[in-house]
Amino acid sequence: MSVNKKVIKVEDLRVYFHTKKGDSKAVDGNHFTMYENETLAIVGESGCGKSVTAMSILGLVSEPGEIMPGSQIVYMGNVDRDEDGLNLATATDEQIRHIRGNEISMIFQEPMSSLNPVITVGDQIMENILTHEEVSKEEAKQRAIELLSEVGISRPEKVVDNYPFQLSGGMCQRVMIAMALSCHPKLLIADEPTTALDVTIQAQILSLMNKLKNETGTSIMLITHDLGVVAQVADNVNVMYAGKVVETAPVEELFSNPKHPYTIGLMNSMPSLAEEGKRLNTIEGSVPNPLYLPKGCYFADRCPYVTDRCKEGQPVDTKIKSRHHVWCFKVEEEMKQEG
Amino acid sequence: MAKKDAVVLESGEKIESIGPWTIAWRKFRQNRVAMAGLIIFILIVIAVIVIPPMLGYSVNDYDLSNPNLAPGGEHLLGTDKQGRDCLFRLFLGGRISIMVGIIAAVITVILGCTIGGISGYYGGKLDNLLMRFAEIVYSLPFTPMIIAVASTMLWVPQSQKMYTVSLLIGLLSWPGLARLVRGQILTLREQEFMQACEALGISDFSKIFKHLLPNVISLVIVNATLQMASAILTEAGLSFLGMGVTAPTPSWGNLMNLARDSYVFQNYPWEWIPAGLMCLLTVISINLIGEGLRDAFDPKELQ
Amino acid sequence: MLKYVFKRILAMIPVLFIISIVIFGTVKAMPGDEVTAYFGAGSKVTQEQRDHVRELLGLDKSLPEQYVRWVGRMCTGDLGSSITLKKPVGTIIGDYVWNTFYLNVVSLIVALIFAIPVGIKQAVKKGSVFDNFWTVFSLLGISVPTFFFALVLIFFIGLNIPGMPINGMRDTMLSSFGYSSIFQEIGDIALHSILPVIVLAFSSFASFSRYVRNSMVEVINMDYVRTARSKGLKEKTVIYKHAFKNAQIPLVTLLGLYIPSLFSGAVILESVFIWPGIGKVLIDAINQRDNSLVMACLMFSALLMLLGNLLSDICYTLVDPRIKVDE
Repeated sequence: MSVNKKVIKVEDLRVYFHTKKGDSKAVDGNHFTMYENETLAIVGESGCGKSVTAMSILGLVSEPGEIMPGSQIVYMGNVDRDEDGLNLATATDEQIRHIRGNEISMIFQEPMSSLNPVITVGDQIMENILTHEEVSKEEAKQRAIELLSEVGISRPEKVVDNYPFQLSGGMCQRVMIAMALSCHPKLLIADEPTTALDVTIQAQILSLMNKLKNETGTSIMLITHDLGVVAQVADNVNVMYAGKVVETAPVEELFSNPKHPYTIGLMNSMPSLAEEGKRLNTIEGSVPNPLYLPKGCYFADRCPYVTDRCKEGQPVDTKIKSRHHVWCFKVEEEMKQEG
Repeated sequence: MAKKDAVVLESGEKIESIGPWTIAWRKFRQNRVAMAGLIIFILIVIAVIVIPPMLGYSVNDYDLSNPNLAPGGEHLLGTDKQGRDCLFRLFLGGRISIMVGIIAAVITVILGCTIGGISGYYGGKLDNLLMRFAEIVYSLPFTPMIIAVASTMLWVPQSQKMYTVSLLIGLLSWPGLARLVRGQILTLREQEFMQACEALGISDFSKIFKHLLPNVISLVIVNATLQMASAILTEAGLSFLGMGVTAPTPSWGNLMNLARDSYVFQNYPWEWIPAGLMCLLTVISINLIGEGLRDAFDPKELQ
Repeated sequence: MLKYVFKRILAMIPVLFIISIVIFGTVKAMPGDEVTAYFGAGSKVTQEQRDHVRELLGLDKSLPEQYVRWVGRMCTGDLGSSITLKKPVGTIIGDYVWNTFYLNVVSLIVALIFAIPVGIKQAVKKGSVFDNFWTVFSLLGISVPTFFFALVLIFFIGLNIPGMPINGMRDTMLSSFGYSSIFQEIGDIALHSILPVIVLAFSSFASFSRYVRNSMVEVINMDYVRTARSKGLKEKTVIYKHAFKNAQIPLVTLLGLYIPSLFSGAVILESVFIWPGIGKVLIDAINQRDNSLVMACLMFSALLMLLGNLLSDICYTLVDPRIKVDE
C-alpha cells in the first residue's frame, strides 16, 4: 500500500463560518492523506463537517464560510513523487478552476437537483470535456455517449439528448458519475452519493464506483454516514466527530479493532442481521453546537469512559499500529501501559 | 408558542420559543431600510393631518389679489392662480391622495379575500365561476378602462369624487389578490388542521374566517401595502388627466394637473413639483414597508 | 401545441363577449351626446339634421339593438368610423398603433439591455453596495408617477437644451414640408423619442431589474449551480449559462405579458408628450365622446391582454423543457 503515490494531503484544515453569533467551527483541524487507487471513506453523523471538508478541497465553501489561513490542502496528483504539490487552500481561482472537474471532480447527494434542469444531459457532460480539453464538439459528444454506456446506461445515444427530469434518480447519479469521470480525474469526491437513492440502486451505484476505480485508478473520497457502505467499498476510513478526525484506520482493522469510544458506539448502533433479537445500542446525546465547542474532548459529554482529563484538554495523536491512529486519552493511557 | 420564556442550555446557548408575529416584527425592525420607510410614512401621515389645520386656510380661500406668488414670505410655497396657499393645498391634497390609497386597498382586500377565499374553499363549480369572473376583470385593460369608467362619473358631486375613484380602483384591482388567496387556501385546505376542524363540526364561516384567513394574512398584508402604493399612483394619473379628484378639492394628482397649462408649467414650478415629490416620497416609503414586510414574513429567510 | 393554442383561443371567446358588454355599457354610460360631438360643440344645426345623423349612427335604436349591431359589425371586421376624425376606426388604429409600438419597443430594448446585467450582478453580489444602490434606483422607478418624471425631465432638461424637442413625434415644419431624405426623417423621430424613451425605459428597467434580481437570487444557491462550479467552469459561464438559464423562465413569462402593452401603450405618458399613439387617441376620443373609437380602442386593448396571457403561457412551455403541452 505504501508504494502508492500520494494524491492529496490535508493538514490542519479549519473551515469557520462567520455568523452573527460568532464563528461556527464546521471543520476544526482536520487532516488526512490519500493515495492513488484507494478509497477513503469519511464517516460521521450529519453536521460533523464531512461535506464541508469535501467542499473546501474544491474551494466551493461559500460565504460566510472561510478556509482559515494555515490550512493546507496539498494536491499532488499531477506532480512527480517527491515534488511539492499545489496548496488548494491558497491557490488562485484560475489554478483551482483548472483542477475542478479535471483533476478532482465531485458528485453530490441529490442527483436530481445537482443536474441543471434546463440543459440536456449530454450538453452537461460535454461542457466538462470542452472546458478542459481541446476537442471538437462531435468528439465530445461521442465521448459523452461512451461515458454514459460505461456507467451502465442503456441506449446512451438517446439519453444523451434527454433532460434530467426525464431520468430516474439512479440514472441521474450515473450521469453525474459519467460527468465526473469525463476528464479522467485523479480524485473523485463522492458526497453521500447513495443517500437519496433506493437501496437496490445504492448497491448498483456503489459497485459501479468500485468497478470504475479498479479500471481507471482514480482515488475516491467517499463521504457517508452509512457504515454498511463503508464496509462495501472503502480501503481506509476516517471517523469524524464535530469537525475533527477521531480515528483513522484501514477498513478491516477498523471493523475488527475499533478503538475510539465514538467508533465503538457507531459500530454498536449499526443494525446487523447476525445478532438477532438484540436491541440496537444508541449513543446518548447529540453533537455539540459548532458555535459553542467545549474546551476538552468534543466527545466528552457523550463518552461512557469520560475522565476529568477529557474535559480539560484536547487528546493527541496515538498510534496503534501502521496507519491506525486514534485521538483519545483513554486509548493513549492503555497504549502507555502496554508498552 | 405557549411559553414565552427562554430555555438556556448548559453551554450558554439560548433557545427561545416565540410566535410568528414576534419573529416578523423582529426581522422588520432589523431591516433598516424598511424601518426608514415606516418612519417616513408615519411622518407624512402626521404632516397631512396636522399641517392643514395649523395653517388655518380653507379650500375656498381665494385671494385673487395675490395670484402665482413665488415661495417665501407669508406663503412658504407660494400661491396658485387663484391666490390659494400652495403649502396648504399640498398637504390637504396629500390627505386626499393617501385616503384614496387606503380606501382602494381596503376594497381590494375585502373583495380579493372574500372571492378568493370562497373560491378556494368551496372549489367546484363556484370556484370555476368566480375565477372566470376574476379572469374577465383581470383582462380589462386597467388604465384605459379606469379612464373610461371615470369619465362616466361626471354626475358624481365633486366632494364625493375621491370615494368613486377609490371604489373604481378597488373594483378593478382585486383579481390578483383573489388568485393568490385562492391558491394559498387550496394548499392549506389539504392540511391536517382543516380535517380537525371538520371533525369538530365548525361552521364554514368560521372555518374560512377564523382558521384559513389567518394563515393567508401575511400574504394579504403585504399585498395590501403594495396595492395602496399603486392606488396612490393610479389616482395621481387619473386626477392628472382631470378625470379623478377635481378642483377645488386638491389631490397630488390634480395639483400636478396644473402643469398641463404650459405657462404654469414653465413659470410657476412651485405649484406642481412639490406635489410630485411628495407623491414619490409617499409611494417609495409604502413600497419599502411592503418589501420589508414581505421579507419579514418569508419563512425561508428564518435565521 | 397547435391544438392547445386553438383550445385557448376558443376559451377566449366567451370572455371577450362579456368584456364587450362591459365596454359597451361603460361607453354608453358616458355623459354627453354623440350627435353633438359629430357636429362639434357650438355649431348651429337644425333638428332635422340632428335627427338624420342620429339615424345614421344608429342611435335611434334601443341599446340592446345597438349592441347587437356593434358586435355584428365587429365580427365582420367593421369597427365603425370615428365621428371626430371622420375616418374608419380600423384605419385610425392601424395608423397610430405603430407609433406606439415603435416607442415601446425601443424603450423595452433599452430597458432590457441594462436591466439583465444589472439584475444578475445584484443577485451575485446580494447585500453589497452595488446591490443596494440599484435596489433603491429601481424602487424609485416603480414609485415615481411616470408623467411626473416626464414633466420633470421636460422642465429641467428639455427646456434647457436648445433644439431638444419636448413633444410630438416629428418636427411640424419638417413633416408638413416633407423631409429631404429618409435619414432626416429617422433623425427627426429619433430626436423626438429621446425624452419619452428615457421615461418609459426607466420604468421598465425598474420592474425588469427587480424581477431578474429576484429570480436570480432564487436559483443562485441551487445544487446545479454548485455542480457547474465544481466542473471548473468560469464564474461567468456558471452565472450566465447555468443560473440565468433557469432564472429566465419566469422572466420570459413576464415578457410575454408585456408584449401586448407594447401596442396599447402608456396612455398618460403619450398625452404628456403629445405622442401620436393609441393611448393619446383613446384619451382624445374619450374627451370628445367619439364612442365608436373609444369602444374599438378598449376592445383592442382587452384582446391584447388576453393574447398576452396566452403568449406568456406559450413562451413558458418553449423555455422550460419540463413543461410539455400535449393535450
